[in-house]
Amino acid sequence: MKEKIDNLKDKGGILGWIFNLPYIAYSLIFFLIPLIWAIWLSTTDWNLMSNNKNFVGLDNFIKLFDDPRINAAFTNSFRYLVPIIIFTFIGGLVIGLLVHELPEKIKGVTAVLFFIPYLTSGVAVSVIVRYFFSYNSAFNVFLRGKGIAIEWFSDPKTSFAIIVGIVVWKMSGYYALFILSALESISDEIHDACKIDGAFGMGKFIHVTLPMIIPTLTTVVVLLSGLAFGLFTEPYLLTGGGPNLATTTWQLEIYNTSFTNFQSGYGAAIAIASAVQIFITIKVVTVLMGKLNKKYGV
Amino acid sequence: MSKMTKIISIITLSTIMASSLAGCGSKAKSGTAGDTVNVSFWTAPQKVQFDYWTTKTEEFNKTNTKVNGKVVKMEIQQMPETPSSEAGIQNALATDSAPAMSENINRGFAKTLQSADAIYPLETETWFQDIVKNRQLEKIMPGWEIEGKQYVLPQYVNPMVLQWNTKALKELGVEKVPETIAEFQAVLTKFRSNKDKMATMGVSHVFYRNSLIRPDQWWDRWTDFQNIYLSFSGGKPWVEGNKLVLDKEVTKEAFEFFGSLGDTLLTSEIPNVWAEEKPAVLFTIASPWEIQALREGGKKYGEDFTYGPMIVKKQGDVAYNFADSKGLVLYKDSNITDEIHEGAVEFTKWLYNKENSAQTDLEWLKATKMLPVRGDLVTNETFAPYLKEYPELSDLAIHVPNAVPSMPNDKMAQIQEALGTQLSAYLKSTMTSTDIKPKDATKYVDDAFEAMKKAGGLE
Repeated sequence: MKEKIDNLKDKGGILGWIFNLPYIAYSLIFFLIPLIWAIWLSTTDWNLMSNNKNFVGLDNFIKLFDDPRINAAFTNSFRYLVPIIIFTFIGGLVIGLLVHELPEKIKGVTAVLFFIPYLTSGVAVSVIVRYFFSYNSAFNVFLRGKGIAIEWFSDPKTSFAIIVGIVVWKMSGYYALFILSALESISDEIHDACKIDGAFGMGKFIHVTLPMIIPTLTTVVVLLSGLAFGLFTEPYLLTGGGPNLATTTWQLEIYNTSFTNFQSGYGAAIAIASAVQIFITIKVVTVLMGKLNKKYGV
Repeated sequence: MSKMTKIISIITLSTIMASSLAGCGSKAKSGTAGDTVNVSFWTAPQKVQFDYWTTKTEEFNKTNTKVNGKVVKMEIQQMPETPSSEAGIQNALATDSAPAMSENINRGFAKTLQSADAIYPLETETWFQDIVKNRQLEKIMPGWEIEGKQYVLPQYVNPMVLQWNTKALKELGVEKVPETIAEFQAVLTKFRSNKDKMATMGVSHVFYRNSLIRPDQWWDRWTDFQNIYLSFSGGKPWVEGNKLVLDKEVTKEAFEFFGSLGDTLLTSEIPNVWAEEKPAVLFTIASPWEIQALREGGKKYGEDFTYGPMIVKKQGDVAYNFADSKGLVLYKDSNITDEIHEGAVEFTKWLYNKENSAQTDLEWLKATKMLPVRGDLVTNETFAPYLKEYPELSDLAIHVPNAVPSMPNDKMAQIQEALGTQLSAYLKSTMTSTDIKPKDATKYVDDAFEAMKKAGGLE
């Protein structure tokens, strides 16, 4: 028996490689090769159709700095990041705390109900929202009856707010599950100790609950940062990035450049630039949250 | 681990990986197998068109047409929209899996394909010249030229005219749809002085065009800006080769035409304006593809809505309009052999030969309610009974000879978006105005010209 185990240990290297092969192959095919290919593509003016593909060096990247659409996508990514993180975080926290306080019998069902928006198709939601804010919708007819006429998607502020609103509505229930699971993991002994020490309500939440769930909140904030950079469906279907580029995103610009304008090389350069921004931003958010975690977490 | 176990493990893993990747991509199924030449044909991603082509290819396959002694078999599929039909073709060409032929190609995208040397020139082919003759396309084909050559066999055209709210016009005392600027301004003035009366009919605005303030919807500049530009300019082009030949003065007039609408321009979205019981506007750009749906919704042509020509400057001017028009192209790709290409040519010849061409076009008209591109559409007896049954199609057909397709430039999207950005900015400054005299658009037009030159690399 011992000999057999030793044999397996000796051959562990090969076995390890075999078991890892699917993941390595997956990463190679769907990540590494496309990444290298995208980097190469970003240095050409190829449209994916022509036989002519000229090497343009860093021209595509230099062009990015002078492109108002890219500047808008860059700025908007941070404009989206802040409200999406704040409102989804607050929404998730409130839902998590409310569900946590519910009787065990209905806790699970309620949590699932809040999770449903996450499962709803972004396309379906966008179409419904579009109808809801259309000129002849009951909502707008009612507002006009009161003397209020708003062109929702013609105003940069309202169109931006609608997109943020959809994302917050869709994602709050999802992140509430993370927070709920963190809240549930706080043991009864700690709650009992709080009672003995006279810690209740807000005091207990700030000084006991919050420090104990900070690691989860860190994860939520980091994931939300990634989410804010990946917006596509809602601005694509509702505003097309307008008005005046107020709602455009990196993903929308990559799509338009590559598949509408057929500038695939430039599109690849935009994709790489966005990846760099996302990487740096998420790194900064992770470091900041890590520090917060260290200082206030338990 | 025994040698056998290792081999089995590796084979299993390889099989799993290979099968998991097998579904990736969408390939056209052209090829030669034994005595058959399989020719792939991509239809537009609409069921009605797919059904039409299914019937036609089945009929053709029964003819047992041969190329080099091999039977040509047409195989059709809908264009993959990954994420758009154009991107689906781009993807297919990039992966050497393009179809032998497809429909649904406009002149602008054909220019992109031509620049990539991905489609065959057709004008020197005898069979193409025969088709031009059979469908009497001689006067129409110059409008499809790309750098002096022909790459697209035009299939259908929707002349983009104006769609008027007949009931509202009657209520204003207007019996005939306006055709000149003077007549149009008279209607606008009547509307302003009868706003309350119009409101009781549910008509709150004169013109509905949500995309006028959406530069990202660059394709809609064909049917709003270009339409009015064509009618004001006498059909002048937008871009020729690498030159921006748009007439600045007429562009300003076109901007100011929309500007004159002031607060009667409605840009908030109405999903189906003509399907509403009481349409909220006096007129829109026509949507001929909605003819059948409007009929099914109980809307009567001539009672509820009427098509009218694009507005011209003065009586007697020709009302040129934009041709929402698409056609067939034959692709060049490494997977398309000469035999496959010949098969595609045989199919095209069969569709539009002297004997079949009118019937092919009539069946198209019946299936899609979109007008086939033919010089004899109004005069050919084959179409007369059907056009009589559909007077709205008959009224549209009159405008086909004056319909101009999109510009042949592979940076069409950028150029039109650049113009749309300035048009949108101008309209935002006019949309609260109640004055029929429009605000001066010179600055916006100057900016639009600069932006178009930059976006399209034009002189």
